[in-house]
Formats: sequence, C-alpha cells, structure tokens
Amino acid sequence: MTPKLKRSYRLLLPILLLLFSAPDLTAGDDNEIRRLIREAGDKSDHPGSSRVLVFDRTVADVQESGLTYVDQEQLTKALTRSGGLGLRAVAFSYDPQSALVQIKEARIYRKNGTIEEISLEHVCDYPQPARAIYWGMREVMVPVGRIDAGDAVYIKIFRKGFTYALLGDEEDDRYIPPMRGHYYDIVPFWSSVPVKEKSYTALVPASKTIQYEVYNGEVTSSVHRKGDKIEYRWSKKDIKPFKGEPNSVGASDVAPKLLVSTSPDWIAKSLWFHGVNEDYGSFAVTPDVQAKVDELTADCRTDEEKVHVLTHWVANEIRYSGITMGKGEGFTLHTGEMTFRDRCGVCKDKAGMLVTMLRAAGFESYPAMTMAGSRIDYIPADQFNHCVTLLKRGEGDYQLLDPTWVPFVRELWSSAEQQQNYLMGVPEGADLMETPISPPENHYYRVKGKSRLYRCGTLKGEFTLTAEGQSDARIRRAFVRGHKALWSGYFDRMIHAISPRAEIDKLEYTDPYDLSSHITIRLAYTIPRYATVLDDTILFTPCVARFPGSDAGTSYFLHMNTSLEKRRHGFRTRCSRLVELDETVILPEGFSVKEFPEQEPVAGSAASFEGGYKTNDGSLGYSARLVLEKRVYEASDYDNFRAAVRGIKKMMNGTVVLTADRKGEK
Amino acid sequence: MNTLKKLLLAPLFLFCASLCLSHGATEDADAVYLEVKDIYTLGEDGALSHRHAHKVRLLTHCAFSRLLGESFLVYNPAFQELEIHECRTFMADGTAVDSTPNAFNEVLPGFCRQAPAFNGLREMVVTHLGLECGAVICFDYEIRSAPGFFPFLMGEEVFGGTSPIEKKTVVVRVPETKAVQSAVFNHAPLPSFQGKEDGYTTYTWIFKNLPLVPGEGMADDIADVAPRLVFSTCPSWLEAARPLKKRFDAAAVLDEALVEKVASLKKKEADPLSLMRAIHGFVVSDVAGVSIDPSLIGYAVRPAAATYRSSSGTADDKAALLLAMLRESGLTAEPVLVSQHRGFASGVPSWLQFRGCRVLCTLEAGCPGPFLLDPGKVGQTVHDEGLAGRTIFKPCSLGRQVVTLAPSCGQANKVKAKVDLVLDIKKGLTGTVRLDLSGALNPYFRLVDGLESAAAERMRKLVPGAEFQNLRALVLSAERSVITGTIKAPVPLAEKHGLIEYTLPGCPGGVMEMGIPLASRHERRTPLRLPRAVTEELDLTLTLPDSVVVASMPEAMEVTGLPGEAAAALTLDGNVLRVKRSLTLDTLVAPDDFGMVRRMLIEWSAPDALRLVLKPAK
Repeated sequence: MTPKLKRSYRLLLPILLLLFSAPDLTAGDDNEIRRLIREAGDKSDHPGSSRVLVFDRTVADVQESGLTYVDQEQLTKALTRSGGLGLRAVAFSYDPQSALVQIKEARIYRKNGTIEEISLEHVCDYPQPARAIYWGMREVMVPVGRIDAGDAVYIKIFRKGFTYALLGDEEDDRYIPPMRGHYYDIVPFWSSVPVKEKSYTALVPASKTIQYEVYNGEVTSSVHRKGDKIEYRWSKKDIKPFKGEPNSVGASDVAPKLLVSTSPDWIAKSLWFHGVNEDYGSFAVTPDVQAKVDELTADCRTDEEKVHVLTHWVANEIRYSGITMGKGEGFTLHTGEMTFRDRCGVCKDKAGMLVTMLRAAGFESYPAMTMAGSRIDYIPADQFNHCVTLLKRGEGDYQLLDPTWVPFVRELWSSAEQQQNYLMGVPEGADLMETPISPPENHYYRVKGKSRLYRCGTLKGEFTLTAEGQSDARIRRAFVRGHKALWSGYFDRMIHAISPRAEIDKLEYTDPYDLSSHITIRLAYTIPRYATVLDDTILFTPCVARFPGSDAGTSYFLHMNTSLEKRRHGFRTRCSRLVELDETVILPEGFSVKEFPEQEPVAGSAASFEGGYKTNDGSLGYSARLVLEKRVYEASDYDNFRAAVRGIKKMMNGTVVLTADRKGEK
Repeated sequence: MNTLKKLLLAPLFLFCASLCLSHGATEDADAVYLEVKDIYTLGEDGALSHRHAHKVRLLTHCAFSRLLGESFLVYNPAFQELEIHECRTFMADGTAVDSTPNAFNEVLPGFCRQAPAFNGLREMVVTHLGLECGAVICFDYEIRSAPGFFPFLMGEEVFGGTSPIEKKTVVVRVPETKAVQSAVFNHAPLPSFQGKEDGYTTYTWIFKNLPLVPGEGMADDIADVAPRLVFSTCPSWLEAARPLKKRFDAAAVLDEALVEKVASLKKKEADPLSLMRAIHGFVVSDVAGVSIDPSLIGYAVRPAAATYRSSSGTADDKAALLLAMLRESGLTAEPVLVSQHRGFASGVPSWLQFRGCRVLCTLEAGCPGPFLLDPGKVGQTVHDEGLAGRTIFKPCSLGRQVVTLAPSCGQANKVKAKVDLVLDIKKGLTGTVRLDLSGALNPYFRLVDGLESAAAERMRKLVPGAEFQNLRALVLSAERSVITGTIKAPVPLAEKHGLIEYTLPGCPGGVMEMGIPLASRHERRTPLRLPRAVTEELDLTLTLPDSVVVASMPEAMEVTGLPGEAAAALTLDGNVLRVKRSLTLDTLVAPDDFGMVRRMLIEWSAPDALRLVLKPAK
C-alpha cells in the first residue's frame, strides 16, 4: 500500500465531489425531476453502464474566513438491477475535527411514478472503516434499500469545513480551512458513469481574487455579480464515462477537471506550510532523540554517511501506521518526540522524524509536500497526498529524502517518485518543482551466466544476478515484506519459470535486510530434458535469455499491456531501468548453430533495446541490453517504448537451432 | 478426586505435549509467542466472557511493520463489552511503552460497509507502540457478552499460527451444574486438567512449543493443520438445533411483494429444477452479501422481507430468504449449516463448528438433487466440491441432524477427452472432439443454459484457436454429460525452422488448470489440498499427411502407488499417431508424498512431456 499524506482524505474528496453536488433544484418540483429521470434514458442509451447521474449540482458559498458552506444535490438513476444494488446505501465521509456533513433530503423516485421519502431518522453516522491511518474519520450513510432498474435516488446534503483544519475555539472555527481566508477546490468533470448534467457554483466574496483553470477538456463557465459576492459557475452536460488505458498516468492528469483557488501562488503555500510546522514545534529535538542520533552517527565519518544512516533508520524503524495527534492533524507533522516514542506514523510523521533527527545531527532540514500518482497543476489548489524530507546541502540547494518509500531500499530518495511534483516548506518559500529523472544505470538488473548444453538436452549452468536501486528494491521486497519461512519460495519460482524440471544445485544470496551492498544472487542449476532433441537437431533457449526473475514484481514493464496499437494518454512504469543479460553456452560437441533469433536494435529517446547472439568455436554467446529512460512517458513515446519491450520479449521466447555437423557426442 | 485425576493425567499430558514439541527453531520465524492464554467463563446468569492475553517477541522488521503492529478486535456493542486490560510494549532494552489513548481507535469493520443493518458493529484497532526487533508486545483484553447473546458457552481455539508458540493455555470455567464437552483435533488425545473452585469447574488445556505453520500454497486452513480444541456446554445436537430452528422459522416469512415475486417466477419456469434455479439465482444476484461471522451477531437471522427490502444480508439472512421463497413455490427446503473445518467433533454440539449456511432443497422424484444451495453464489455444476467431506447440521430436521457428506472422489470427477485430428497438407488441423464429463467436472447447469458456448469453451482447451460446429449433447444429466463437436475450419499449426511444434493439450478441468504450486522444491510442512480429486483421460489421434513425419515425441511414462497415478503412451502406426494419457489425483497429498507427487506432475506437464515435433518427410 502506498503510504501517503492524508491519503484516504484526498482520495475521498474528489470522489465525494464526483458523487454529490448541489442546489438549486427547487424542492417539490417532482415533475421536473421525473422528466429528467425519463430523459436520462435507459440501459440501451448507456451501454455498459449500470447507472446514470441525472444531475450533480454543487453550490459553494465562500465566507471571508475561507469557511465554505456547500449544498449538494444529486439524482442517480439505476439502469440495471446491479446498478440499483450499488445504490442500496449511500455514504459520505468526513473528518469530525474539521468538517460537518448533514443529509438534508433523501427520496426515491420509483419507476412506477411513486415517490418514497427516506426518513432522516434512519441516517447512520459512524466511524469509517479504516486501515493504516486511524484519524477518526466518520461517515454518514443514507439507508436507501432496494432500488430496481428505472428507479432513481435523490439526495441533498449540506457540508462545511475542510478535510483538515487547525482547530480554533469558536463554533465555526474548526471548519475554516488551514490557510485561513483562502478557499480552494478540485472539481472533477469526469466520471466512471455517464453524467447528464454537472455543475459547480462558487459564491466568492468580491474582495477575494480567484484563480481557476479547466484542464483536459472544456467546461461552460460564467461569472456574475451577486450582491457583495461574485458567482462563478462551471457546468458540463452529457459527460461520457471516462475510459482509461492500462498503465496510464493518473485519470486526473488527462480527464477534465476544474481547479479553483484564492491562494495567490505556490510560494504562499510553501511559506504557510513551513510556518505551520515550525510554529507547532514539530522538529524540536528532545534528549532521547539526540541520544539516539548520537548513537547512530557515532561511527559515521562523513555527512553523507550520517544522512544515509539516519534516513534508513527512520525508514526501517518507524513503521507506517497513523494514529492521530488530535487538534492540528493534517498538515501538521507530529513532533519528533511523539513519533520517536510511538515508533510509527504516516508519511508526514516519518518525514518529520527525519527532519528532527537531521537537525539533531547538525543539518538544516525541512519537510516538503508532494503528490504520488498524478501531476500537480499550477493553480495552487491543494493537490498533495505525500510528505517527504529536505536536506539543505552546502551549495544551498535541497536534497530530497523519503523515509516512507525507502524501507529496505538502498536509495535515500525513491526513484519510483521521479518526475513528480513537490512543494518545499522552506523559510524562503519555494515554487512548485519536479523531481528529476533518475538515470537507468542507477537501477540496473544484470544477469551474467554460463552454461553447458548436453547432447541429451540437459542444460547445466549458473548465473549471477546483481541489481541496484529500484531493481534491487523490488527483489528485496519479495523477502522483507513476506514471512521469513517462505523466503525460499522466491528462488523456487524463479527457476521454475525457466523450466519445471530445473533443479537448484547451489544457491547463495546476500541478506535482504542488509543494505550495505547491492543484492546478489548466485544460482547453479541443472535442467534435464531442457532442449528438444531431434536426430540431428537441437532446439533450446539459453537460460539467461529467458530473463530469470522476470516476474511482475521485479520486472513490471514486461507485464504491461503492449498489445495496444496506440495510446491517447501518457503512461508510466515503476522506474527507469537498465537490464543487461549475458550468457555463454558451451554447445554439445559436434553441433553448431544453424539459426538463432534476431532482433533489430531499437533506439529512441524513451527506450532502447539491443540484443543478439554470437557464435564462437563451440560456444554461443548471448547478450541483451534494455534501457527504459524514465518513469512517466508521453503518449508519443509509446511506439519506441513498445518496440524496446517487445524486442526483449522476442528474444526471451526465441529458439536457437543447433545441427549436427558430425556425429554428436552424448 | 481432582488431585488424583491430575496425577493420572499428568504423564499423559506430558507425553502428548511432547508430540508437538517443535524443532525449537525460530530461525525462519518473524516472531515468537512466549505465552498465550485464553480464558472462557460462563456466568451463572448465562453471561459469557472471553479473556485473551499474549506476549509476543518480534524478531524481524516484517513482524512489526507488516504482521503484528496492530490488533483488530471486532465486537458487537449491542451485546458485548470490550475491555483492554493491558497494552504495553517492552522495547529491546526493556523500556516499557504503554499504548496511549489515541492508539485505540474504533472503526466500522470493513465487511459492514453499505450494510445499515450491521452498522452497530465495531472493530477496535489497537496500535502497538514502541515496536522494534527484539521488542515484546504484552496484550490482554476481554470481551464480555450479555446473557442470552449465546444460549451456551461454545468455543474453539487453534494452537498454532504463522509464528511459533512457546506456551498456550486455554481455560474454560463453567458453573458446577454445567458439563463441558470437548475434543482436540490434529493431535494425540489431550484431556484437560479439571479443578473446582467457588462453585465453578475449571478445565485447562496446555500446549507447549508449538511450531509455526507456514502459509504454504494450496494448504488447508490452519485450523485443519494445527492442534485445535472445540468445546461446548450444549448437552445435545437437539438442544443446539432448537434456537436455530426458531430463528430460521421466524425469519423465513415472506411479505406480499415477495409472494408476488415467487408467483411470477413460478409462472415463467415450467419444471421444479428450473424454478429452484430461478429462485436461487434471484436471491444470489438481487441481495448483496455481507460477510459477517454469525457469532458476531449471536447467530441472529433477519426476516426475509427485511433482507429483501434492504438489498443486503448475511449468509444466514439470504438463506432464510431463499428458504422462504423455495417453500412458497412449493419446493421442499430446509436450512443447513456447513462445518468450517475438515475435522468435526460429533460429540461437541457447538454452532462454532459451522460457518457457511446453505439451503437443502429436495426436488420431486425423478429430478436431480438434493441440492445444497449456496445463497452467495450460483454454481455451474450439481456437485459442489467445496462441500466434499464436510459435515452439515440441519437444525430444522426432524430426523438426523448431523450428517457427514461424501469425500471428494477422483473416480467421480472425471473428464474423458477423445480427440481425433487430421493434419492436412497445408498444416491445418481438422477433426472432432468428444468430451465425457462427470461429477464436479460436468458443467451441467452451464450446458443446460447454453450448450454451444459452454461446450465450445471446453473444447477449445483441447484444440486452441478452433471454432466448433455440430455441437451436440449425447448425454446431458446432472451426473454425466457427453458432448461432441467438429472443428469448423482448419486450425493452422505454425511452422518454424522447418519444424512444426504441437503441444498435447490438458483436459478441461484437469490438473493443469488447478494451479498446483509445483515450483516449491522444498519439503512441505502441511498437506497439499487440491480443489478436487480428479481423473482425466486423453485419447488423441493425429493423422498426418504423407508429407509430414514425426521428428520427436514425448516419452512414455507410468507412475503408480502415490495419492495419484499417471500414465502416458504414444504410438505411431503408419501415419497415425495415437496418444493416451491418463491421470488420477486425490484431493489430499500428505507432506511426505508431496515430493513424489510433484515429480509425477512435472513429468505429466513439463514442456517436453507435451511437445510433439513434426517435420517434412524426406
């Protein structure tokens, strides 16, 4: 599970917005609603969809303090019985510390024309199911009950507050957003179900300057003066269900959305984030923390060693589990004292712990916010789900450290987060930035082997697998995240994938818990009846050419769907990669190579592949080199990427043909 | 008397305990439980208490970051109280860290999502603080249930887990007027110590040095592998049945809408089997399942009409709805509970020995059945292999209430494939396929619903890429179906390097579709449990054109004497190649047999065992 800053909250907000929006359908106008339900069509009008959102309307009334009162109305029609099942109970999530949700109306419009009011007495309010983050989130749920195809459910809610806030003492203070006086929102104008009409209206005090932008599509907009407020309205009709592509970049990067904010720029957010945590005292060094830092760094000879030791101590010893600090939870990082004592926290707490320990070791360090999984756009609406650590270097620039993503990873900053936007919480303020591409050679996966093929078809050999960076991390993960009693299964599966007859003659591997050196696996094997032996012909594929360890966990790129001819959207892998395979096979005496697979080299700015066979006196050499240059690709990179990945796959499945040039020796 | 008993039983206990002494090995463990204690108490008023305490030492990072960092306690506040007595970590250096109030968080159990009727249940998530390698978690809690929540004290404890346990004690305290029935599985007989105090009888079981049970692929549930204790104060199955019968009878009542629904289904379906299937399908697809362990709600069953109106229900709720609808339609039906483990103690009347709820539906003479309908899913076959060897409890039955079902039988689950292929001079395959399917491999319902698609789907496993015509069912019955088909258009075989490789197919439903974990070269510590016992037979002829000859074919094989047998023979008679392959496999493979069975299955399914190479005739 990817650890993220206020992960569940940030994910829920767009979902909530997607599901429910607000006014102004006059209550009691049932005929109008019936007409809309009728005109929304049936399943033949929406093939593949089980329900249709007839309308989804939101009105956000922004106050001077930034506090926003939101009315939302939604009417959903079931197109099939399974669509009705999904509507049997409708829930809204909220954080009681900073938000309020009230169900104002709920009713069912039956297909037969009757209307059933759902008694609000039956609305439930309860703690939300949770895993990994336990911050007291709650849900209110409307028990709708049985809904048949053709029935529609109307729900109107009122909410105020934000997902996070620094709590105040006055009645409504708790609902004022963290950046007091500022308002922002992220409104998806896309949906997995068809939407007939969606609108978002913001009533903003005339004194506030609003910035907004619609991304990845078109939305109708208008601006009107309404007394001392300005009414901004965005709407869209007949939204088709969004169809993603496998391994695509995040839907919010490519699907229509509106970002709206009164915050002037990211620098203001950066300064605010810095101030919040410094003011709270998140990074105060306690005697216990100081003692631990002194103990950990006692044998370190350089600053680099200290940073390495401290980052990995936090990564490995502070487990990912979030308990609440109560008031201030959200953008406030738990104090180092709390996290050190608890030995657990979410990403922001781990980041805060590392800031504290680095400061204890004499470094200048701050936190930064980032967004794992999708792009941060330039309108400064809050688009963060993750928190990391900054180390100020001698040159005055900052180095990123991520103690959440590097448990038992040899990196200090996870290259699985390359090409990712981030915002530093530093005293001088900072603009939005992007993490650089990590060179593929930092993530090499090398297999070098030698083997001997016998006349009877037996292949006997050995290979050494070494890996670094994210390639190293993916192998280690198979061990450190699983039961120790099942470790041996990894190697069994690795060799079984080459051939079910393979036997491991010898196995050596470095301790997956030891980060002092890259992972190394040495494996000797014998595979009886590996080659197909005919009278004067032998067919086989060298073991290393089969790419040992090419499971989805280690070599995800091989398991991506490359059958798509074209892509509309950008796509991503897990990390840039370099794969180098090399093997020498001693051939059976009396046999020579008649034919082997060939593949034209693939070159390009996104990926490259080069590989092939060479014959020598009595032996056959294979080498291959695949380079994946980055993690996130443009759609235009696809042809190049696909050709390179297909190139190595072709060699993995290709057959070498040997023929007897004289009577072979058994 | 008690002292005498203790003296007599002590040597026996020590002997039995020694049987489960581990190798003393913790080198492959992530954690080790130093002590586990469970105390069950039945009050005079019928109130129940279960107190659990353990001390566990963490040995690896995985132990604290993934496995044991939190404890999850689900309970029902409507009837139960939870009290945490101790939650403390001793770090490796001995520093004590108590969990702070924010480390105790109540949430809704995930399985209660979208189920308003079960919105009152709670899961207490206890976050253990101060964890590190070498730390010891001390955790002690108690759940007290109000009188009436359960009519009896019933319990079950498994003595083992994915971490070794140095000592585990189970104590059962009941008023002297009550007797406790108990049984121990997967272990030599182990009587309890008994003592009397303050009007209570105390039974105590102690196990020591329990090894870890690794989570091996295709293994039985841990409760079927490790020692397991079941106990109950219920005096008889009749007594155990009475409250359940009352609940199902009260719940299985339809309202007007449901009566109409049954009437409309009855109008559409002509025969009893179709009617039963229509009602079953309706309950499965129209009511969402809520996976609640019935013990969390005191085995309560909601009224059928309420389940229908809310569109969601537990297995028991859905069973009551199904039961009521079947009865309303005129079919004979009764609820049954299915044992959750393979071992069953017939002398211990306890609801906790059961988990799933089914509806036993018996059709009129001449119809197939009886059927044990699963309210959660519709099967393709009449035979549900998941029930093989299980025990069912029929609380509403006037006759025998506890019945053990027949075990899985390889001879009953059979697929016989007769494939006659002709390779034409353009290297295209034509021919016919005949499939004889029985038992759990006979997709009777799928064939009834759509013969052509179901038959072609199976035949394509024998001739990949083929389209079929003339699809017929020579026999179509619940026990056995025989289907035939002809390849519609020649299926081209690829030629590479001047050779044609043809891979012998596996039979549909055969072992090659089971995903048996053959990669593991190591000795298993737990038995391999296959989804079903099976017999598969392939009789394939391939007639070659004069221009093509066989360059290489798999070797013959024969393996007997294991929990399975396999044989393969290939003969070439002129230009006709005949392949006969047969395999029988039991459902259970003991750890000692696994190595041999694995080798047999590799011989059966390795690429070279299936690869036929053809080449042009010279």
